[in-house]
Amino acid sequence: MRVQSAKACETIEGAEVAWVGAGAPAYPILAKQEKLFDGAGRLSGLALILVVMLTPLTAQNLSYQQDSKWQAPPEAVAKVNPLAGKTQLAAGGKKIFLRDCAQCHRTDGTGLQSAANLTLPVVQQQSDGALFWKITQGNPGRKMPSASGLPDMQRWQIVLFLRTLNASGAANK
Amino acid sequence: MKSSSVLFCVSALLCLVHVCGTKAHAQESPYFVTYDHHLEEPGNLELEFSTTASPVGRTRGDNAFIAPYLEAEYGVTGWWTTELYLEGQGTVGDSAVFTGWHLENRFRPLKREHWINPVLYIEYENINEATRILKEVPGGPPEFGTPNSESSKIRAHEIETKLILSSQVHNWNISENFLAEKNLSRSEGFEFGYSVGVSRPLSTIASGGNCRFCPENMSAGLEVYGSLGSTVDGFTARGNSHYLAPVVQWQVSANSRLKLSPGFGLNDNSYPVLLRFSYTYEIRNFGHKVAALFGGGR
Repeated sequence: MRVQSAKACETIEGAEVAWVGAGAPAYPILAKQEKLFDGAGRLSGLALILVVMLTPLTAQNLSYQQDSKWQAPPEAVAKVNPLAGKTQLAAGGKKIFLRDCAQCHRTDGTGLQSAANLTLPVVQQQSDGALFWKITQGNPGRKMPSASGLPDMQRWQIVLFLRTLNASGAANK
Repeated sequence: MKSSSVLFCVSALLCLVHVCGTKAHAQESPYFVTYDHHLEEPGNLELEFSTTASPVGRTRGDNAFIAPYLEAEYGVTGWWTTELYLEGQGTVGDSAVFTGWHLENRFRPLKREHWINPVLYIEYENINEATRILKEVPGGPPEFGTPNSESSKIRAHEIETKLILSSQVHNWNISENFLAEKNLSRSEGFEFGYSVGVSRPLSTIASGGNCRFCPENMSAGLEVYGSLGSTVDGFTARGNSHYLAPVVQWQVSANSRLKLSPGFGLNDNSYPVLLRFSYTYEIRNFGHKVAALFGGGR
């Protein structure tokens, strides 16, 4: 056992030398290992790229269900967006949305994993005040963070931007 | 270099860029010492490289120092954030030493936003007496001027608890922290401290264009922090350290920000000036992406 262990260490050390390009491997076993590393390196590299790059694409939320316990109180629902009608400010809302929200809701608002699909009627039919309340409060149970640290007006700007998301998931220009 | 190793390196780099090149939240407060109620988002990892420096010593025998520390903050759940600190210190005319590590946890007991939002904080510190990061200054005044060779030999295993209270009043954040610390290595009794911070973004409306220097990317505030004494040395304002520190923060990019704070000692038991600087980089969905790399469920 001891000899084997010592040999294993030796071959690993040798392989490391070969790995950094010091020339031909010292033992036949190393050539075999290097070949193995060659194939494994390519395969693992490609697999890593595929797994990491493609995971967001395969995780779109197609069956979003609202959390029935997460309801804005009536006084919040009744609040009116002070920026209503100032559609030019939606661009600022879009910027904040892309920075802070798109990670889970996607850039088109269609949502990843358990994040809400913001283009669905179940979301769009809510009042500005209800959306503002939900952005402010967050929903820790569903991993939705509170955005209360953002200024009030920026949260209202996000609401303005949400109104530009249409059913196909693209933002109206 | 072999083609396979080149491919491996490139793929690893691509993965790293993909994992790291994600967006960050921009609602962090600019404080260095005071905590607010905003925890790290679940699955996000925030790396903060900070320094605390005193350009001038408090007395003639006390030299200038710089104390760098690395903070890795991870959002475990929506109500629990855990952090690991590694810290060191270098003193002019003395030496540079590793001063220890901390493990801290913050828990938010209430789900919703309230007028006052409490957060419970508990921290274990395995440090030595050469520590100078001054993230909190409980108990009596620090021992100034002790050489690193002596102070770094004195270990301190400490438990620290904080009650964090934080409010969002319109666009202002107002936070108050009360801390109690117990050194388990020595009989120092319970030490107490405080910090209070107020801050505000410079602009409340976001402009439509992409701009680095827009006022909405900046926030500013003020911190006051210090010690309240201990059960052994008694409770007195004069005999302890107190600091007043303006703080500014600049959101450099979507996932990084810079903070700066010149702090001023308010009495003879404090360093006259403390300069604090930090660079923060946030990696979003770090937990999920690492799990995905190893075949974990998303």
